[in-house]
Amino acid sequence: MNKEKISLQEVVDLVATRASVSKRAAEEFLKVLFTTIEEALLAGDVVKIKNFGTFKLIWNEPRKSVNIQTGEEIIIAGYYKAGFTPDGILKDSVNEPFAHLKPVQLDDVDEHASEVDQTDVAMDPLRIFTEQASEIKSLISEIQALSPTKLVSDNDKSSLLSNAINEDAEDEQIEEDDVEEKELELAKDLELARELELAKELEMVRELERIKELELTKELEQVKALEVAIAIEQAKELELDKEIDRVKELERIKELERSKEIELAKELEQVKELELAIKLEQTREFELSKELAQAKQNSQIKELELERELRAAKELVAKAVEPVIVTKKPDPEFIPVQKTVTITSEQEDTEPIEEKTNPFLTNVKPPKKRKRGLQILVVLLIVLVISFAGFVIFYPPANEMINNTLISTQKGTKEALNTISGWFKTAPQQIPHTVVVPKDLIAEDSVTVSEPIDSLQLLFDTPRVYPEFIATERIVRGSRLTRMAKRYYGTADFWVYIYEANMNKLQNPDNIPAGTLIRIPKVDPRLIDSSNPRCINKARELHDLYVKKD
Amino acid sequence: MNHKELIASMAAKMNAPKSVVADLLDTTVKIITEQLVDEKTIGFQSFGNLEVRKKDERLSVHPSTHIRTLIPPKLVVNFKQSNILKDKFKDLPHHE
Repeated sequence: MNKEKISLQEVVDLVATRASVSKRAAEEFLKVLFTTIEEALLAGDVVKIKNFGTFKLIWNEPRKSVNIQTGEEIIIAGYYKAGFTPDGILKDSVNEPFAHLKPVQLDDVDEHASEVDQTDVAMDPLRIFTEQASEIKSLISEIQALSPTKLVSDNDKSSLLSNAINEDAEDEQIEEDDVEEKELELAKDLELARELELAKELEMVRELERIKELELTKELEQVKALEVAIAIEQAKELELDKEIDRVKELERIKELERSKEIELAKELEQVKELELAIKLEQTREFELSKELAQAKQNSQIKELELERELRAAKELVAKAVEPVIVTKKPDPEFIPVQKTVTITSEQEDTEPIEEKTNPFLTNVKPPKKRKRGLQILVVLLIVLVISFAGFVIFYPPANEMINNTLISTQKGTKEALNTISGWFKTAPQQIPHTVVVPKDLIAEDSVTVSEPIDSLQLLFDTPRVYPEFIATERIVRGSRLTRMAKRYYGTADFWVYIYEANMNKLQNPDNIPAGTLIRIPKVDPRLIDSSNPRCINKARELHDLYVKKD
Repeated sequence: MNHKELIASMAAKMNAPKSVVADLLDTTVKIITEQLVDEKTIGFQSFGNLEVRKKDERLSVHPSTHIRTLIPPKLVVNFKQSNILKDKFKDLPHHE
């Protein structure tokens, strides 16, 4: 970033070259611009400049602070400061290098979802563990509930069996007497049955033992299963930790990638800036070479012009000697040319007076100005021919002048030209008071020909000078400028011209001290034409200006 | 005071036609804009400095939705009043 600083003077130079205005005018313009903004801000107003921005006052609240040296508490009083808000166009054109960048919404929604997943995964092992624990508990309780009842039932069975054997034994003792033969058989049977029963009992016992063994093995298996489950859970937890680590690593990688992207974008921007700088330098070099070429051309043209002027001057000198002879032998083609030359030279003589008071009228657009000057000259010629005719008919002293001119000139065209030259010679003497004289105003003196509408605008734009006064009034209590305007000009709106003429005496148009002498100026009748709405509008505009300013 | 009023009051002060003042103001604005685009600081001794500042990119979080947004860097025009101007506004009473 090059932080080159430009001063007011450089801006003045640029404005002067760009708007083809003299540097003095450009500087005055900028100073007036700043003072105007300042005054408007001081009056509590906001200043808006099109395509640029808004200047306005910003209130800074009073705040507490501490003196660094003494540690004392001090209160900084509230104050206004000038703030500037750039307009949209300025903002956009300044931000051109970064205009392509748009705010990026980071994928926060997805991250949130993944967090939810993580919590689920984290919750799972606990849930599984509790489920398994409950299952195991139920199993253990079942086992505990089952094993004692089975043992009890086994005992019952064995006791029942023993009872049955005892009963059988009693029966045998009762029936010994009755059936001795049968006894033997029965005894054999009994023995067989006992043996069978014993065998059965043995089998039962064995079965019980087997069942117990089975149950034990089952319990062992369950314990093993539990151990395995716990081991699995531990493994799962480890895996989870690993997964969390991985997720964290992924996030880190993502962040790194983001930072890299940002860095890349920065690098790209720098590259772009460099490219822009190179382009600018190239264009500047190009412009410089152009300017050099133009300067060379200009100097050549100037030299040529100088030579021409020299030649013209020589010719003029030669011709100035000639007319004495030429008037006797008039050359119809030659003399008019000579006259116009003298006229233009006089025209140029009158211009510097205007330049002193108003550099803008002459300095702004010189080429157009010359063209307009020619047009005005042509119009003036026509108007003067007509006015001259009027003079001949109505004004007796004019006849003498005509006679004089008739003697010196012989043809009609020559008469007109001569009167023009004579008029131009007398013109500065006729109006010694006025400093600035609009050209069409002079024409207006003699003839009231309908002027083009633009002349009125020109009249509005030219600064008003009040060389003549038609009356003087003393302000008494209750006097109003508007009433005076009504009396002298016909419409109250034109009071602004009275105010303008007396501006040096009056501070405030609304409050004039009694006893002040007010001079009523003679104003151009076209300015105070109450039937023309444009005049009224102009006066109201001025009214706004003066009333607002004060 | 808008653009039109500014031109009117300036024309009255300078004794110049409004059209000329408007043209001058336009060119001035254009020139200042061009200089600022070139990232040059413009210093008006009695008025203040106009300069371009770079605002770095930043993360902003929406207070209610918590959506994070990356705000890209940008260049902005900054005006800093001069001390002369500051002193002029110093004694203005606060009114509002």
